[in-house]
Amino acid sequence: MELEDLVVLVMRAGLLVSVALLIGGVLMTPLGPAGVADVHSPVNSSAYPLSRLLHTLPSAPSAVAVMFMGLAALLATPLIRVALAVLEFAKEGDWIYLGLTFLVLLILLISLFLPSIRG
Amino acid sequence: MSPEFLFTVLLLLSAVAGFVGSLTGLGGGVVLVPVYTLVLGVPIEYATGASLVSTIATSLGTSVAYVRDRITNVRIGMSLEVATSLGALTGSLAVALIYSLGFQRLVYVVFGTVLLLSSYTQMKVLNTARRAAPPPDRWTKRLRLYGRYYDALEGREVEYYGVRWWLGALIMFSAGVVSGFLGIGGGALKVLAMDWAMALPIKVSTATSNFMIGVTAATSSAVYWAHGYIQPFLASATALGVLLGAFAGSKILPRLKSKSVRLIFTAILIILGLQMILRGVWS
Repeated sequence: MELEDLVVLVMRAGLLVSVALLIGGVLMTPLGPAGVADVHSPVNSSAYPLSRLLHTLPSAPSAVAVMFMGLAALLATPLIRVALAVLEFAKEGDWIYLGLTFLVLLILLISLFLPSIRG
Repeated sequence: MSPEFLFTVLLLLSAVAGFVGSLTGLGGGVVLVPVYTLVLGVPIEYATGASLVSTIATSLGTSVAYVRDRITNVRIGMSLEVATSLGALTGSLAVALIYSLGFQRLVYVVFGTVLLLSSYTQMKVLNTARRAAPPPDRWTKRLRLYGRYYDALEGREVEYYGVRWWLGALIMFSAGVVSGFLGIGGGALKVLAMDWAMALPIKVSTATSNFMIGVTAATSSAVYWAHGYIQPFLASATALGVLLGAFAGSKILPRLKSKSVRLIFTAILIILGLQMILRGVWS
């Protein structure tokens, strides 16, 4: 399989999964908890750190949890696509592009685990 | 506002933003953030967070066809993602610092200024005439910036190569900074980097820019996530709406008489830009 076809596959699957989760989460919103569907809602991503998402979510299957899973799937898709490119370039022995894509992967991972700035 | 009503409003507004964004090539966020903040009173952190997440969805949804048809140059795109994601990290951390210090007004002013600058590029009709391409340089060879695609309009295979990768990467870095700072895709600057700096064909540039936005926005989205700028309901509704709008836009785009439409969009951009600046200065 060429890199392009792999990329298409990952992007299609990632979008499908995240759209399904986002729709599901929105549909579950009326079931509660209250106060999520408000533009000033205090419910936001700071309570659901990405690095601990898999630990915090399954125990609480709520609308919020499903929506965050959908959003996380959206974020994860480019990451998976970059990771696969790293493997592909390693297999081809293309060192320059292996280095470049590995750097991208590194920057993405750093952004995932960076703590927040407190004012 | 009931959840159903709010969802409908968000979906409609973001679909319109996605539609306009896809027709102008500026992306959904450029219209979305001003409308959310000025009309709906959404806090700017949440508005830019929702916008940023939606650009990932749009990038994934609309770039698949171009990658499949090999119009996107995946290799060149990936070589430049180092620069955009580094820029995105810088921009998103900078804006997080500004928010934490309570300088939200500054973000309004910067956003407004970027809108006015974008309106200027919209007015200048894209020069599609063939330019004399500079000869291949050392970057062309080292990074193998070659490619070919089938141009349906010209009915032939077009071969091309890219030059001045360093200049492209430099502009890509600033595209990343703008994207991370304002929660938009930054596609206009990405196209500038490839089309103008690297002398790649415009079709390849726009398709590759679209492809790269996913990685750029994912980097800054992770920073936004940690800082709590992503409100789940707002972000979900927006991502779905912008995606719908962008799909509709991409279907209509080829049959569009662009001159008058472009003029209307330019007017909208100028009005929104001025409003954002005013809001930042006088709020």
